[in-house]
Amino acid sequence: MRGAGRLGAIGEGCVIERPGPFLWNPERIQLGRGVRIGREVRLQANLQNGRATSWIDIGDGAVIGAGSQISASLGITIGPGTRIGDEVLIVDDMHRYEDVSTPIPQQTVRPVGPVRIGAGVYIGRGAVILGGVTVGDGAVVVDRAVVRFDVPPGAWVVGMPVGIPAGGHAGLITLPWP
Amino acid sequence: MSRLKPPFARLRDRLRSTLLRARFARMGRGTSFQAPGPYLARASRIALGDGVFGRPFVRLEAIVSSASPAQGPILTVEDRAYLGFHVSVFATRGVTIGRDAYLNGHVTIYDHYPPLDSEEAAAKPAALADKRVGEVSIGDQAWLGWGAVVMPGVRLGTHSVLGANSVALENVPDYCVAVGNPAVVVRRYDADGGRWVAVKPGEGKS
Repeated sequence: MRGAGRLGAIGEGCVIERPGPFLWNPERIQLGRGVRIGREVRLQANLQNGRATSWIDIGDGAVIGAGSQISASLGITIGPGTRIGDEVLIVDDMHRYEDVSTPIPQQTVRPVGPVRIGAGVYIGRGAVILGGVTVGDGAVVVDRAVVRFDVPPGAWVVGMPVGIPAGGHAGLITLPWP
Repeated sequence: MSRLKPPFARLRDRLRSTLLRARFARMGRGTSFQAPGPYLARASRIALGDGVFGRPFVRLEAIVSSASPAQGPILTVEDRAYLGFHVSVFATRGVTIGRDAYLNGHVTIYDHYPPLDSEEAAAKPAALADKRVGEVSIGDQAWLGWGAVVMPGVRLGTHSVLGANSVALENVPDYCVAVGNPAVVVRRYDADGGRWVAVKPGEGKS
């Protein structure tokens, strides 16, 4: 498998589809056993203050869907058996925008907090997980949800952003079960 | 293959469609898919009407599980429906896409959630126990915007519109426009006045 030797660690039985993956600082990226990664996936362990200290750890049997991007300035941990759909974005940093006299692309990036995705989580197609978020074990993030706050274990969350629904409900929306 | 000039490309698409016909439960006249794709699972449980048109990367998965009917198609696409780029449909109980429905790119439809993958369904018959399952029906002439998602148990009405990147968790009545994540009805057709009228929040529940 192309690029595997550059990764920090790679378990047995990993499957990585081409084209991709597109890797930044691959020595900071670790894959468990039997990880499956779809086409056109980006795994970015960004530099922090010029040093490669961030990490991306992907647990045993996790699945990352095609076209997804995981971008870590601090660290992103994905638990075993978690399934991530296509075109999902997981980031732990955010661009600064506050200085109105400077174009936003020229402002620096602000790390928000490490992201922890638990075991056996399902993250739907096109969802976005933002910095500092912990997603509990067995939680379900419905397609296209934007997650800014922690998701309790086993909860189903939906909406954009999750936790501030238009209807004025407090807290997370949980779908009726089942 | 992709470097072929257009007339040959059209011929190639027609040849591919002819080969595809053998895989589906039914594939009507004039139905075709552009390459690459369609990506299919259990196409023998998928029925397509006449004049269905699919853009590249369409994914149609019929996943046979304990929730599936014993026989007959579990994914039906009726006449002249349009399936845009990367449209994905995951069916285990029953999904029907109506006549002249228009599914823009990246539209995704599930009748169970989270979706089973085919291996999981085959290996663990009880894997459906922790899923939401319900039949999905997309009405005739419905229009789904880019990236819209339809969740299990939802009926999208005749001639209704689901906005781009909207996520439908509840039914959308006939002749309505629903937008948002989760989607809410914002307009409906007033047949008496012959015009589309705005719907106040909470008023559009079916």
